[in-house]
Amino acid sequence: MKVTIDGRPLEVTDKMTILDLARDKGIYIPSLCHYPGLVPFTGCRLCLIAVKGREALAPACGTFIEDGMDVTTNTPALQKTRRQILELILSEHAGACLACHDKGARLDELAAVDEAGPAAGRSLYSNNGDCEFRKLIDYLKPDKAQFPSLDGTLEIRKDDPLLDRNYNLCVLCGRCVRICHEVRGVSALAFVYRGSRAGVGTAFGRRLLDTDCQFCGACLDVCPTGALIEKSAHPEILPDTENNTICSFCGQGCELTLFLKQGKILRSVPAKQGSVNQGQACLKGRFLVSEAVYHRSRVVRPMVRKNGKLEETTWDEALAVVAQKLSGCPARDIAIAGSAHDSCEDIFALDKFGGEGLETENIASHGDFTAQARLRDFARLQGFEPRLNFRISDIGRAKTIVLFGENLAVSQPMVWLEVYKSIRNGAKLIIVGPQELCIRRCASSWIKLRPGQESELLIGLSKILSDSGHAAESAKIDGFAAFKNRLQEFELSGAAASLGLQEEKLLKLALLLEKRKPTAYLFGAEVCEGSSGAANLAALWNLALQTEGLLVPLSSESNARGAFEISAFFRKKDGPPGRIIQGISNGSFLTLYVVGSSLRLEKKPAAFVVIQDSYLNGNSDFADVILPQTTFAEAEGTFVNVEGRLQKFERVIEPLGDSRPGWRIISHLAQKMGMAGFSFRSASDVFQELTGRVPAFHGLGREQLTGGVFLREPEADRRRFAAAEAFAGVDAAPSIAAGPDVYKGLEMSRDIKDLRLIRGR
Amino acid sequence: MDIEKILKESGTSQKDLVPLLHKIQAAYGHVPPESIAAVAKHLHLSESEVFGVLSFNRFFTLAPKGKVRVTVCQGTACHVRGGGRIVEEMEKKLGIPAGQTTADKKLSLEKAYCLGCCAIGPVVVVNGTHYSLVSPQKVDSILEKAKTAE
Ligand code: SF4
Ligand code: SF4
Ligand code: FES
Ligand code: FES
Repeated sequence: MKVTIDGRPLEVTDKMTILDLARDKGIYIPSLCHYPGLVPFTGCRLCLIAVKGREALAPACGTFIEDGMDVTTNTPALQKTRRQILELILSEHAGACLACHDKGARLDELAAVDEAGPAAGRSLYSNNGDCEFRKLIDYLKPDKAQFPSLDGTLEIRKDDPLLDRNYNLCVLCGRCVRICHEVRGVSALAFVYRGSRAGVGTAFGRRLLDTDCQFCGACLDVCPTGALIEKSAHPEILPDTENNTICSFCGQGCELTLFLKQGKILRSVPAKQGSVNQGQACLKGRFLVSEAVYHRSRVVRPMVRKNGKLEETTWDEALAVVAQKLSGCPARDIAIAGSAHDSCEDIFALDKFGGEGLETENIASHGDFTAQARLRDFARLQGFEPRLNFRISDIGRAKTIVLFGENLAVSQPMVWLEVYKSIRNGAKLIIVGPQELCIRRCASSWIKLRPGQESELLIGLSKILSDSGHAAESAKIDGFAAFKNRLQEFELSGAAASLGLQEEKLLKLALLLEKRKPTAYLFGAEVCEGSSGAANLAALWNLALQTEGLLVPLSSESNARGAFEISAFFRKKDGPPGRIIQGISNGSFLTLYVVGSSLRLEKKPAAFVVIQDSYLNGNSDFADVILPQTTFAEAEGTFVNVEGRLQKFERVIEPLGDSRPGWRIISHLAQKMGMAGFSFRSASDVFQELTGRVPAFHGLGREQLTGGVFLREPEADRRRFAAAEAFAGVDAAPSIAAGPDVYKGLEMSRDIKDLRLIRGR
Repeated sequence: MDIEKILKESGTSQKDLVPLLHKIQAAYGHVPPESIAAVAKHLHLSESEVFGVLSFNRFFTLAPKGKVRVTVCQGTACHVRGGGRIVEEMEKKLGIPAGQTTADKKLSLEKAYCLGCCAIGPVVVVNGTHYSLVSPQKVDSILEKAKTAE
């Protein structure tokens, strides 16, 4: 298509709006309600432009390019119209915004206005010190508020944690309402009332805590004014530096931008271009980074227990004590519990130290018990390799999504955003599990089951499908005949009765899966655990084959996949990690080296206990030595996210106190014990050895890592129907009691009044 | 009629919201605030969304209304002919602002924006009975009759 903008001839191939095209070509058109990625709203009218041949002015943000269009974006008449519109908006906006637009107005003056503000019912800064609305005032230069001002009469809402809402500054652009609805799937905010009372709010003006709000902060980040204010932000405390990192609080691997002032983290926001998160984050990444890094329970000096009490000491002494104990202990009496929250470098150093230095086989971490680990174990026993890598965006291709038990919005926020996007595009979500989740609202049905009943449901569906006329496609897949045979013994009516479902409902569900292919099955570790785990996995595998299903095993630690790939490499025999965890809780080892706090210690688990962690917690009571580890903000390294995407992160701040990165602690310890092969000087050194040795990482270079690369894995799995029997009885994965894990965010949110409510629902 | 029954008879998608609120209001005379959660759940909406629509639409009310409803038109034509003064007069006489109900819960005063009979404005409607060409002087007698209206 050919178009002309301000006399400039332009060529366009994609369907796009005039505003997007203008932005792309560096032509400025003012806009307010427009926000990239949201459905055009055309509410504010500040982007009005003239299209030749059309009588009325058109909003650039909502007008799509047509062939031959001749557009004018900047004439005195247009500016005048826009200015008048801005003056109208200002009539409902704090009049002082006009003063604020003066670039000469210094921050301290603004703060003085702000001091006086509460009395006048206003607080005048935009939360990021970067007010979009002020820029519009600068550009359109209204002289004065032309209309009687209605501002300043609304009470500032300060009754929520983390953010305040000052609707005196709201310009009704609706960005917050739309991001909450269109992107987050929460709709905690809505337009309420009408006429001069019209505003943004919640049902009955409740606080956000009493809505489904997830405190993701998305509304804060899109608000162009100071209406939504981050509680911890202050107009005088502005960052001097910003640095990106990868959030390590869960397995999504969101890219965050950390704002620093004098080397300290002020706040964090989702990076706009983050490859996984694209400008979104969750409560933890958005609000709790600085809380986690500077948490009062951080341990920053090595500690050794003397006369029953932990006392601070030097690295030299602490490492000497550990070295001596470990040297004197037979390898089979030593156990190591790793952390799936650590970087690949930390985990590699630890596993190498354990496996090759100490030569113990007793190494396990949470990474060994995730859905991914179980799926791989299962498939291998059937004689094939499953693919574990996926892209979150792959889920978007599914027309039916079946979700097991997880409260996705909390546990896998980015996966949830994709699922929600697909729902908006017409996909159906089916939730299977015992509890009603807050995302139930977006699902087309909820199959209420007791845990352990999943396979019954899945096999029932398989049976219906294999008996139906639709079986033709799947009949071509290996092992179908045997599979169908086995299904003969399965009694549908009996299963329906024990599930408490009408047979009718099962039929309908099966039909949905058949009609709306491809499908996706999202499941976490719970589905694979315990005595029913094997049957569940087999049933899932088979149903997925019948319905062009994508199996999406979910894990929640920031580096679960990395941990499991690395420890699988060092594990000599196929030693079942479940036995090790069991052994630790039974006290079968003499010496225990625990990293992180995903394991909960109930009693002293071994004669000598070393804890390498960033925090003191209940587990510390049983430690003989504590080795303080940095958090992700103080170190560099790599994580593998839930998709199998390897991403690097750089150090953002100096280590707190004497804390050190995990790989460095291990290297020093190994050197103290006289072991060779630990002369790593940097995380890159470790990474280099890691990529040379661990197959999944072969040949991946650090320089490739911007945006992330995927781990190596076998080309495609052999597609064949599986039997559950082959897996049954093999080391049923233990369900591990959750440890006092700060990173999971639960402990932290308990510190903030009432916030735990969100995490639970 | 109980809410559950009304819900059962309604569809379950967003477009069913306004008709559903109408049914509830018809049954109760207002939309009971406690019903919002059930409505939201039934239609897969959030409570804020339901509240947004409800508070936007003048027809709906969350508080019970009096048996007598006095509606004063404030549409353009009636406004030009002094509809504003009629409301003020009514507010003064009844001692309540428009949009509210008298303390004895008998009478509610409401504003409307064009009732479709501009030629005879200013217009006041009392439970379906229209009064045309209303002047402030007529307010007393209208209210007098309103007290006995059914
Ligand atoms: S914090 Fe997130 S969930 Fe809460 S209102 Fe804002 S956008 Fe919606
Ligand atoms: S609060 Fe902010 S984002 Fe929301 S409508 Fe008002 S100005 Fe727009
Ligand atoms: S930005 Fe186009 S109408 Fe608001
Ligand atoms: S303006 Fe009152 S009836 Fe039309």
